[in-house]
Amino acid sequence: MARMKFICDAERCIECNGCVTACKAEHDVPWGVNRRRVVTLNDGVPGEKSISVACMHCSDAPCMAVCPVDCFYRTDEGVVLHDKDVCIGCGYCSYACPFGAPQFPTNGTFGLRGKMDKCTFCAGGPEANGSEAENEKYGRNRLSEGKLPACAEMCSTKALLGGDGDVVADIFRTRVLHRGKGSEVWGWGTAYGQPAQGGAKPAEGTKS
Amino acid sequence: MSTAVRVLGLLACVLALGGCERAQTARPAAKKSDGKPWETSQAGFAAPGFQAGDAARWEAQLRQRAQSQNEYLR
Repeated sequence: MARMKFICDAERCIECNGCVTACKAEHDVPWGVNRRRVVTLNDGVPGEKSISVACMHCSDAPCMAVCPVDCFYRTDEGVVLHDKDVCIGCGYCSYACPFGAPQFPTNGTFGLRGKMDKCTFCAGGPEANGSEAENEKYGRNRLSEGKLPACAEMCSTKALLGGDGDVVADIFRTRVLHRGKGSEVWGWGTAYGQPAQGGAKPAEGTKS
Repeated sequence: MSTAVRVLGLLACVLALGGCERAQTARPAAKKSDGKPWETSQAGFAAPGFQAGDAARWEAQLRQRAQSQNEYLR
């Protein structure tokens, strides 16, 4: 079974916020809630880098570990979801999450009592797939329609990749090998194998 | 006499109200279980080539969609 993951390629992200807009529009996310956002390092400085960040659907999710009412669950596809009917809006998950994924709306259909809202990998929630109740609380369930998250599918430069972790990792690896740079970064060997197994020497003038 | 009637009346009220009481056992809120993504789908929005209830076709559809992100295969 696939384990769903996101990867964002900082060499390709152009900070267009298309992913953020796609997410907002797809799920009718209220003002003040950002399930996904673009973070830029060294903004305005030549060589700035941007990445799109949302819930990373961690395999050992800290939000899940600290939740006092145990409202989180992980689907067979590795998507971390939660039950808003059980959530008490305490905010522990927000403190635990290293990515700032949990959001706490103060009004609107997504939580009159400030229940937590976050990226669902476009997989909805525990309500029946595609039901009105699910759409009201969690947004659209694209996964049950045989589609990938709207943010990744809408990304114009394909910086944001979403889908089966093995597949997106393979796409990213192929990309880095073609561009001839990137495999020297810390952690590459752990994630994609040693450079001898597929790493490449930096090539002059290659495009990302 | 009237005191005995009053006491009996009170007892009857207590018994009658006692019958209305519901069991008050505290149950923790339990999260609902989620269904499989391929089990149900709104046919109008389903991706072409995918039919609700077909796990194999659902997986194939997602694989195909994931590979569409790989421009080196186009």
